[in-house]
Amino acid sequence: MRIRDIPRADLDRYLSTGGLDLCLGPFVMRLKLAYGALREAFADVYGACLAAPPGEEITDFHVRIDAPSRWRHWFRPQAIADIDSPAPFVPLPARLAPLMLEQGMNWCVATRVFNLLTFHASVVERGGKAILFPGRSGAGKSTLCAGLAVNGWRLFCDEFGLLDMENGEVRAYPRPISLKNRSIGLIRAMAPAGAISASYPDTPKGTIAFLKPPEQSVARDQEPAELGAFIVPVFDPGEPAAISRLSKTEALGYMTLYSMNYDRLGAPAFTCLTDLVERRPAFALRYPDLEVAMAQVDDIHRSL
Amino acid sequence: MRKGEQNILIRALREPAVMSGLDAGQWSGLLRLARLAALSGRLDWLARQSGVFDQLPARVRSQFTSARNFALGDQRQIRWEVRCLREVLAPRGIRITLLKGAAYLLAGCQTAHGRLCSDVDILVAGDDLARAEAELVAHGWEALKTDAYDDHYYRTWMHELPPLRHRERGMIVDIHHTILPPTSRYVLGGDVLLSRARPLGEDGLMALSEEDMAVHVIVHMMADGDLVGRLRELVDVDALLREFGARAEFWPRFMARAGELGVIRPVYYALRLSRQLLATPVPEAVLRGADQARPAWPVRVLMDRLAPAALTPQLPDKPGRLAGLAGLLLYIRAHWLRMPPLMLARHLARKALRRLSPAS
Repeated sequence: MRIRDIPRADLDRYLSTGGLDLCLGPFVMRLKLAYGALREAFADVYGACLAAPPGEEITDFHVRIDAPSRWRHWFRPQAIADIDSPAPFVPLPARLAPLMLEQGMNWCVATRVFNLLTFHASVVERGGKAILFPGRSGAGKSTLCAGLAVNGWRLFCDEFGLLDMENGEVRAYPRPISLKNRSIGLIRAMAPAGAISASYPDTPKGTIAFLKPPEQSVARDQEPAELGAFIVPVFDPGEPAAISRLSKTEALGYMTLYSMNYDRLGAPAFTCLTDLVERRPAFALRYPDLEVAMAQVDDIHRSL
Repeated sequence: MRKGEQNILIRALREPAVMSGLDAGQWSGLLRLARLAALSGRLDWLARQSGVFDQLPARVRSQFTSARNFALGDQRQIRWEVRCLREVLAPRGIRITLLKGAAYLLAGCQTAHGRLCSDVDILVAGDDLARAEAELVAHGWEALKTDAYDDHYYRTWMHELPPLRHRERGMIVDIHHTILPPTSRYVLGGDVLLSRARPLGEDGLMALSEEDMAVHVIVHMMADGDLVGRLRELVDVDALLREFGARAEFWPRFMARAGELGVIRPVYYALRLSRQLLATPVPEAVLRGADQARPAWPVRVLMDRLAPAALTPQLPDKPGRLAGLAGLLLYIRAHWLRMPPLMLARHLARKALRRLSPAS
């Protein structure tokens, strides 16, 4: 059932008691959420996604957002994620609980997925060809990814590139895109009404708002795509736009650098990556602003 | 654990075929329990081994494959670390006897399949100890504990040196010179075990004899901990006994060795638990032999109730009340076995004081 179609009282009951299984892309996550405002925000951002009551699906991960201690539920309330194993989360004020939820979910994927080759990367797709942008957060890839996602591209994921090592296909996992500061207005100007969540001011990274996973991306979340190209984006307002082709060695270097589990997977990951780098072009893209970058990505996509 | 209500993870470990008939809710519980108990990789291997893997739901196969890949990564790193250790120590005439996970892996034991193992435990002869440590420190390993009390505690009272960690690879190596703390009730001298160690093919690498491997994991499980979260060790006990015990000549050697080392009591407990929870096949005569070391009935009744409860993993949402109590009582028991009362009091007092002082 789509989350927005679940009666609000039921949704609230699931999330605050036995949990709700969020079924998105390759993963089923059992979510338990303290705080009514968090459940409200979750329903708003994830409304288009499928969910099931416990027992219907096989759950991959458990994420519980709650106060770090009982009294922190009432006095200067805080939120922290519990994911069944030690993790380096720092409690956030309860008003920022939705950010903690994203952190908790991300941590599960980043540390527990070894059946797929995973990358710090944004991925979008059009015409059956996925473009993978490797890079750590702060490299400007989220803004670019969000811009593409509201301009006709299918959002695969902003945080994770998920590669099936058996066939080299990319898996979709359309989670909300976390937009920071100036990017929020930039994307809001391009996006349809209601596409962006409430803003969360005064976070450790400034103001944050989420681009909700677009309807058509969520509807096709079980549909993988072939990889078309790797693009390493570099935002540089002081320099003119430029696209340069990366050598295969450079491409392999970037991909291993930005992979989260390459070192543990070993030989199969190496084989998969060298094969992809052999068959798919890689580019470095220097861009002064979003419009230019989107046009450059279009150019590259047309050439594939 | 109440009678008749068998834990789903223990059921799957004992009879992998049950995995072909689970519903989604049961799978969610089983996969979560297995991960918490660090046994997902084991479950994957059992599923493949028993032929049910291909019938499992796609999501389970993905999770199992993930667990398998994770464990394979551990194993590759362990093999590499062992090789690095050997390159430093073997040319200097220091023989390395692998213990636990690294030993199972390099000796090709069945229990190594899907097993997680994040550090390397080695045993070296008492005479080689100082030299082994110095050589490793000279070749990129560093002492992990820096606090003077910790260092003193390890060196004076424990059965291993302060852990060493390789500067670049981050892998931890524990160098043991004996198997249990010298202060412990059971004394397993390293040199006694080394006298029966067998070569592992590669020059300078050894493993304990089969009977000593089994005795080691049993004594470790029963005497050096509170049993909570130690199902993984019981799985090792079960797998080693199944593998070695398949040859009849193993059992007399095993029991004789346990007698010689004075550890029939922990062997009694381990056989009982392993049979009860994992249906380990043990010959009648061996059970009768172990029975001679059984404790007086009040202890027996208490342990029969506490130990299986402590070993049975619980979902975090609904921890069994018995498991919590069992854990506490067994924790006290483990420390009781580990050091004399006065020393224990001093140790705990110092730990408590340190926790109170904000400087640390």
